[in-house]
Amino acid sequence: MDIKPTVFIVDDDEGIREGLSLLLETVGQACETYSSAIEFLDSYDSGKSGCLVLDIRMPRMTGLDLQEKLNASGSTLPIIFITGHGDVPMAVEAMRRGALDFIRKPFREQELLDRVNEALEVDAGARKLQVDRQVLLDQIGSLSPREKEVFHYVAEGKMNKVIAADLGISERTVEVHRSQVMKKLGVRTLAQLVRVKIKSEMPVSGER
Amino acid sequence: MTNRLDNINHLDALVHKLPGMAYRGIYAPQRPIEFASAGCQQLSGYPRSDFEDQRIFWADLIHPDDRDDAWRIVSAAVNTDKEFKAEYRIVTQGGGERWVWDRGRAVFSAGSDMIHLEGLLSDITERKQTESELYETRAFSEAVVDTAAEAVITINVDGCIETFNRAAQFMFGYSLDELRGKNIKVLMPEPDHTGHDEYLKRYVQTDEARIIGTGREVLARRKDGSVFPIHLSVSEVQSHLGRRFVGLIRDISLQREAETTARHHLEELAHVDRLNMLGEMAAGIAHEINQPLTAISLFSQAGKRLLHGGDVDRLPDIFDKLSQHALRAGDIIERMQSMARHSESARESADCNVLIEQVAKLAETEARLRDISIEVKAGPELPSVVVDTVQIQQVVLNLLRNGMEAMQSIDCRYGNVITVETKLRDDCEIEVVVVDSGCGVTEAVAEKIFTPFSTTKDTGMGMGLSLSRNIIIAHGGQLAFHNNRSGGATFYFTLPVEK
Repeated sequence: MDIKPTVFIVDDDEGIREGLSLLLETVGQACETYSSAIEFLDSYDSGKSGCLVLDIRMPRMTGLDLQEKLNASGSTLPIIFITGHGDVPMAVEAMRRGALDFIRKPFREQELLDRVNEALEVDAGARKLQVDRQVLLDQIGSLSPREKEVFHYVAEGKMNKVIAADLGISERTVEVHRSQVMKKLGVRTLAQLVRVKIKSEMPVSGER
Repeated sequence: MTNRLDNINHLDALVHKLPGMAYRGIYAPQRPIEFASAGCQQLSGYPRSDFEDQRIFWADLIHPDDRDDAWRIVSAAVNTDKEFKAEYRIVTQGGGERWVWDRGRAVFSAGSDMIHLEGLLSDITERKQTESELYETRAFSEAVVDTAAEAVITINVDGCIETFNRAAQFMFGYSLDELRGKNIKVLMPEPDHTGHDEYLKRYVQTDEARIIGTGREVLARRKDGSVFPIHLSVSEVQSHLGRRFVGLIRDISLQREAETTARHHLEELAHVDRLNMLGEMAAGIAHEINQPLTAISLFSQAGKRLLHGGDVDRLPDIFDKLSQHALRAGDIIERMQSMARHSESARESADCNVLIEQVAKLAETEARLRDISIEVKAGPELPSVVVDTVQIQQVVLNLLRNGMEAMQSIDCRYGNVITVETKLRDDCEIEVVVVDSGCGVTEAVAEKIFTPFSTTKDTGMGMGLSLSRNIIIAHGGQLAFHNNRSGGATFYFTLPVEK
């Protein structure tokens, strides 16, 4: 996983592209520029962290179109839209579809830098959550089939007695499995175990 | 002797065969005749014997109104021993009136006081009739010329004025007496005033016609010095009096004024339409100006940070960028301003391709918003046209915007390129063609597409096409359209090339 985040700039106006990347460079921010949505899609790797600074109006594929494509592919890359005069209805639509924010041209550079930092934080947070979940999933994956069954029953709040009856094993065996599960998942209380199950089942979109 | 007699008889026969009447009479107011030739009968209706026997005198036949005049002419000639020539009327035996020409002279006999008159009388009735008809015709044409609304002026080969009709006197403020014999150039402002003698000389020498037979619009000068436009046609008249030139002049200042008023109206309307169009395009223009402004802001902030960080090597580049984007913003504003300009119609020589390149850039502000691209196909080596640049650009802009709107109305189903092409046709006109891939023109719309205030759009005045057509017609061209087979419509107009 790429540790250093990148700001992806997609704008059909060369002047704005150059200005944005130069400004971001001066604050030590890595960035890549693309002159069209298609060019960006062709080279984008969802594994790269960062954020997208996207012109809402572009020929052929607009910023909104690109957002839709990214959403459909399950991307979580935060998007800051750059809008012009009279683009407010489009900006509202973009926000409705989950854009992080929009800024209107011409804008103060601090405003842009703040938004970019915010977006990078959001992305980093989301990616951390993703990493945490992966750890959990790996831990759950290390359970034996019987242990998995016991994990699910326990997390649902079932008593050992009931679990033993459902699985047709002794209550004592359930207890052994249960302590094994707690150990493998690194939890000490029932509440922690329940949280692990909830976290592991959270949908991707819920990470924002 | 016999020979002499023969001769006399011969002469006698000759005299009698003469047309008219040869006579010998006595010099007296009654004009008694002693001898009359045979023609007497035909001329006067009386047999010659009536005169020779002194039953009637010649003066009896002369019309009473002409009798005194005739005698005065005859006696004056006799007194100075010269030939007399008199024209007068006689009343014939049948009561009819005839004109006669009486030529003769006095004959003095030696040893006698008596003076005789010998002469010849001819019937000139027919000639007199022709003459009077001629007079009448001439009087008639003079009356026509004099009452004509157009000025009629005749000059000789030296340019001196010979006639100057009433309309001309009214038109130029001179009386005929002031001008008769004066050089025609007094009626001309410069440069014709100085050049006319030369023009005339050249024509007389070379017969190379510049104005004769064609007619053209020139400027004329009144007595008060004011200059006014006229239509002048000149024809040449050859007669026994020599070569003369007749000029027919119509004052077209009222016509010109009406044309000027119409042109002013068109200009006003065109200006209002341009402002309206710019209003509609404001969103696109604002967006377009925002681009360089945003870039400027970004570059200047980046520059400031580089300076703070001590990284000055990149600053010159940044300054270049700043100026480049400031100029870009300036260009957009200038294009917009030139469209908003309220100019007095100033026709100037222009390159159609340059003109269209500029307007295409302005239209691109809107094209971008509509996700349409404009393709300019500039014809090679086009001759220039003499136009009001802003007005022609307005027409092109209007056609482009209509086309783009038609394309957007069907979501650019047939493509998102609109082309504007220029080409030379028949070496005499330039054609500008705008091809869109929009919804096309329905029959119902086509019928009144050039009617003012008929619009198919939600916005706009519906003036665009009718105004565009008027602008093109005022430039001597045509504007028309047709639907494309592959969808969309083609609008095209022509402009005459500069001569």
